Amino acid sequence: MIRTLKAILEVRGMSGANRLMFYIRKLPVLGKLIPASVYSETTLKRTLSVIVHILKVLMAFVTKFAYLGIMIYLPVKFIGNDISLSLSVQYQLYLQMLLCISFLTAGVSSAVILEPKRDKYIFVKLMRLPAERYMRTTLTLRGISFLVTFIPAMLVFGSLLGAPLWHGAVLTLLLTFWRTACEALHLWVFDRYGMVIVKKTSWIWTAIGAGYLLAYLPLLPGYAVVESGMLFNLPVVLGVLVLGTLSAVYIARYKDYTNAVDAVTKIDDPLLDMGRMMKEARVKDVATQDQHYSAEQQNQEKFEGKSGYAYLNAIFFSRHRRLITSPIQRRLVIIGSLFAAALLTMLLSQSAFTKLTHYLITALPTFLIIMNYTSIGERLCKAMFYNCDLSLLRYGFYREQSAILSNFRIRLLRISLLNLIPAAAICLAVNLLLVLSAESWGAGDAVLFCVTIVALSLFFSVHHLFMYYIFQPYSTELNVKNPFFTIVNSVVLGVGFIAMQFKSEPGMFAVIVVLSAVVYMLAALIMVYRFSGRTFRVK
Amino acid sequence: MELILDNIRKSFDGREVLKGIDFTFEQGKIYGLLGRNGAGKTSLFNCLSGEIQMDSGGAFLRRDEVSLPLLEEEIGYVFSLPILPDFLTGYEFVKFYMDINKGKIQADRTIEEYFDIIRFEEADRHRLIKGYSHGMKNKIQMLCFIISRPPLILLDEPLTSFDVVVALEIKKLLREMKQDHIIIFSTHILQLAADLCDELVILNNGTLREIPAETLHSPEFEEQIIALLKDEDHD
Repeated sequence: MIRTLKAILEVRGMSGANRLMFYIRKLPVLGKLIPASVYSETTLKRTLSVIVHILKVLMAFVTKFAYLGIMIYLPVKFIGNDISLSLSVQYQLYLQMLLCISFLTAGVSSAVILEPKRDKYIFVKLMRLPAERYMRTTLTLRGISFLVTFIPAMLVFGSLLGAPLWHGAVLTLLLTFWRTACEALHLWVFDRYGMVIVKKTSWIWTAIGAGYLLAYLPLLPGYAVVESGMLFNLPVVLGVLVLGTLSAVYIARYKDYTNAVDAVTKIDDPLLDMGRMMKEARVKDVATQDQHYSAEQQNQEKFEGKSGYAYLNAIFFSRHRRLITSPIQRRLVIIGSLFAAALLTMLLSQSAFTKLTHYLITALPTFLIIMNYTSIGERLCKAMFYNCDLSLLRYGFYREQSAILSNFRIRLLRISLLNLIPAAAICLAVNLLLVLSAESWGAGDAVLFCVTIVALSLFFSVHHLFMYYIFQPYSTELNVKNPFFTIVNSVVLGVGFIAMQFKSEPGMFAVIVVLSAVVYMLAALIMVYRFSGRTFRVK
Repeated sequence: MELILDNIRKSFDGREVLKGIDFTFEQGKIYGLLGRNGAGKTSLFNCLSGEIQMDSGGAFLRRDEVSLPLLEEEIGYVFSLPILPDFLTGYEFVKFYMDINKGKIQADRTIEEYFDIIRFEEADRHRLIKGYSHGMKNKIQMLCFIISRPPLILLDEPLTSFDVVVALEIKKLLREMKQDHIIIFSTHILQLAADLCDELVILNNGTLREIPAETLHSPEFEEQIIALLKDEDHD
């Protein structure tokens, strides 16, 4: 077993080292300094693979802290402080959530014994390691590392909630043995019924949904059923330990691992290759759909009078109608339901409604962020890239300055008009609410508000399209590739957050927004004309 | 008209793929660019078409003793994997292409007539390109340069995936067109090159070399080419 373990760790370490080098070579400046020949430096790779192992171990500890901290401890603390619960009730809630998520949900959804995994495919199928040896070794490793890496986080968060240290240790032990029993159950179900539970997507999501609802719903009113006495008593602890041990014996003695591995390492299983699955999902998200074409075939005449880029874009926007209308509909539904919720608040509690409308008036800069997410520009740019530009950019005529500019202008107009729909809905909803409220809201205020929203909507229409033309961040797989794209985008959002901090005069804010929208639009037209010839390419 | 390649160099990741390409291609001939997998055929085409930047050197078009740098719009490039926008029908794409190149084309033919030239089925013209076969897409790409008549036509591994009928049609088409153009097509299939080309050029070890025309139809043609390709590997 030790020899197998060594071999597995060595291969994992090497492929980890390769991956590390691959990503380092992708870094903007540093990457250029490293030649491709680095992959053949075996000594360097050995060092790197040691580093990779250390990083992995550290990560294992960190993720346990992150998981317990973010998913359980912080929500408990947040609610606990909000409705001032005593520390012992908070600990009860903590245990209750841990039971729901780590014991119940994860027991169903996170079992590894029948998990489709590249690692399994590589060792058992490609390298011909006997399935039994591979499974026994990796499962032992997994069990031990699960126990060891959970202990510190359990001790820390438990004692932060006033529990004695031994609670944390026993809890980790219970969790490890309980999860071992779950693994055995998964294996037993497979052996008996030939069923792989982790591949039953609907079951998994039901377990996740139910577990998280059970965990978080009682948290809101601070309702704790579980008491530490229910977990930390001899019969329960002994029961779980015995169950876990028996399960471990079952797993260790299980004969037919070849079958269990075969069932989850089919070469075309999308779960084996997360990268490919995500790529396909991303592309499918924005792909042209045949049925739209056949539905629209009858009214060909609407493209009749158009020519050149106007013709191209008219067809593009018409044939991707669902891609365009569904996000707009979604936004309208959200705006509508928020509006309805606000009306409901008005009927139920006048004081809450007053608070809300007051916030609407003072929080105009918040719309900087909201309008960024209201704009459908980014999604449209993706669709344009994948369905249209990816192929046409291979042609010289499509990359000519004048062609790029006229295409840009047509698209800008289209996107701006589309974005005006949710913008108009927001203007309408907010103004209606304010008119119904006790706030003094004159025609001047209303106009100022609408102008700001419309200008913001224009600003982000230009922004997304401009970013696309100047940085062309997408590769053929549609993941954002260009680091500058992310940087500039974050800067714009950052400016939004800073603007939120200033409670500026609405008039002043409107002027600034209108000016920046106009300046951005002009600058974008000029820069796209000057630079897109070089930047707007398939990379 | 001549296409002059002057000392074109290109490296990827420190590996020099094109090591100073010097060559002159003449109008009215079909050139076969022969090379083994990975020899740099597609890289050379991509450099010429502006798809990727060359590290140094240049390409020039000489007409009546005047040489000017080769422009992107003077090139018709048929990719080995035909790339066309899926959301248009063949008809719409050709109409769009004609609109865009309005100033440059002779307006003596209608779209339908152009489709007739490449023998494209009536019913297929109004189907989405998404459902086209490889051969149909390639035909559409060929139609692009029949319409815009660029002086230089590059074909990257064409015909290899066509069925015999389509391959024959395209071959005929190329022969009919060659008078007014410089046509270069890359391939690693010897028979195809010998069959269709007037001249044969070998890309090996990053340089171009011409094969004497008389070799082309000699019985020892195959052995000679193989010997050449192998020899230079061990230089």
